[in-house]
Amino acid sequence: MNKSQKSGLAVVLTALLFGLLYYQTRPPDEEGHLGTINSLRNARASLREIELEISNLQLTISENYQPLQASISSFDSSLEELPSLVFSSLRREVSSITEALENGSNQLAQYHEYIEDFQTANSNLIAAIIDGDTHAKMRYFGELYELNYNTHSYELSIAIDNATLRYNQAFQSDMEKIERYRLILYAWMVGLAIALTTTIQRLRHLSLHQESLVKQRTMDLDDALSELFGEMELAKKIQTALLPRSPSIRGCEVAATMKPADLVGGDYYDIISTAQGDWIIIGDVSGHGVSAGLVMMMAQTAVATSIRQGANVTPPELLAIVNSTMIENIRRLGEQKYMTMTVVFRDLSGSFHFAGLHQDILIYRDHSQEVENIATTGIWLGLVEEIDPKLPAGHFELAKGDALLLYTDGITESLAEDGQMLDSDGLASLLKSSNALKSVNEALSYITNSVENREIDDDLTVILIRG
Amino acid sequence: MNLVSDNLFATVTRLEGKVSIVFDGKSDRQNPGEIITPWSEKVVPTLSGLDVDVDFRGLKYLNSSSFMPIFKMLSSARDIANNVHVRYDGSVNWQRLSFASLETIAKSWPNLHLSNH
Repeated sequence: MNKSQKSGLAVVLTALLFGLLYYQTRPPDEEGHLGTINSLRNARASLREIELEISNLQLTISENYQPLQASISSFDSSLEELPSLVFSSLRREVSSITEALENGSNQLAQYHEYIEDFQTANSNLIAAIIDGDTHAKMRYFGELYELNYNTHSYELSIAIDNATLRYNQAFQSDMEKIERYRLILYAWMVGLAIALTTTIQRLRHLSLHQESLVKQRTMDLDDALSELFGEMELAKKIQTALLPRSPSIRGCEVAATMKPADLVGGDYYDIISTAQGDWIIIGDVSGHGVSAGLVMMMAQTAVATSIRQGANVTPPELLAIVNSTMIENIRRLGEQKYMTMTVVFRDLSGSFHFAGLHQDILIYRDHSQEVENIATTGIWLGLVEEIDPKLPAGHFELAKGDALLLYTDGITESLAEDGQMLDSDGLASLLKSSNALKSVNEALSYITNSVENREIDDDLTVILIRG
Repeated sequence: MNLVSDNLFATVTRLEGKVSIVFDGKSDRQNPGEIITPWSEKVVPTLSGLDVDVDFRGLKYLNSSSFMPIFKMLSSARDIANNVHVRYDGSVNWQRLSFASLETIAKSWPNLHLSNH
């Protein structure tokens, strides 16, 4: 073989070698490669769809989680204000939470369903790849696919697991809260029921006890009142018994009345006849009621005793004796009492002598048909230790047809509807009008009936004497 | 140190060496001593050595139970004051009757003076 043949052979061998190398290193089949790429693209698209769905799912969970938290917060607030909340409101909160949880559960179920669909699609994809190409392609793209799949599926799995975990944690936490609150609510309700029952029982017991006490107190009070009224009635009887039963004055007609403001009054009048003449006494203890009545009875006793023991006592002397007798007793009673008193003595000649500070003396004069007003002088009893027995005495005569009126302030201070007092002028008018009446009793009734409609806050005593 | 109750009032005014007490309103409580006595127990000790002028002319009404605590106040005031001058309205029947006893008492109490106009 010559040199040119050898060179030709070397070129041919080199060409064959290159051809062989080219064959061994040529690119893969274009048609199979494109199919695999399409499958891969489809798988990626599926994975993106899955990612999108997962994202949507997370969004859904997130959106549901907020209202769930809000419901729980609301439930917390409601529970804090539980004592003041009505149960219906609480039930609505619980219902809202339950509904939110049901929504979450439904979303989770859908999610699991989607995972199953993904796994099925994944299996189908792998099967399609296996069935669609050569073993080498299958391995090559299988690795690529597996690489992609593992990467995505791992991320997906982590994301899903995290989402699931968060959801489950939130769900569990919420359920625990709900359960805890439910237990608290039940405990509170049970406690409340027990407290209510106990309170009702205690109230019932207390009520029964109170009723029993009230009954007992009422009975005691009734007894005490009966006893008190019995004693008051007795005091009234004593006071009434002290009044002259059938008062009479020589040569005169007499009518008298006393109306106490309370059961026992502080007004006092008396008519006492002695061998020397007739005494007419009228007085008024300050205030009224039992204490005033007691002072009045003291005065009556002191006056009657003094007159009967001192045959020739004068009106000023009588007052001095009565004052000294009463003042110590009034102090012992601890009462701030005093007594107005006028004593009138009609001697056997028919002259009237009087002393003592009380109301003015009114005398209807028949000859002039006018009322004479005689002011009393002196001092009230019970104010000072001693009254001068030499105090000046007054004097007047009572002619035939004249009328003498002695009274206490119960009548002169009686109020008309407009608040005006009757006063001594008003009483003088009544005295004047009464003179037309024949009997002294009728005249007295006329005077007292005339003030019946007036407001009278005090004892009322009137003595009418016709000459 | 004024007296202020539901209906009864007394205004205390102090000038040099003199005290003026002016009553106003009406005293119609059942137990007026409950109001008048505690007030007078505060006022009276401050009247020592002074000329005291007590004016009742503005009073509309004084029931019988009111006189004793007022009398005790005047009596206590007279014990420590230089002079006590009581003014009342003699033209008003109840005032004339209420202060008539004081007119009698004043005759034996040299530093108690009354005027009825």
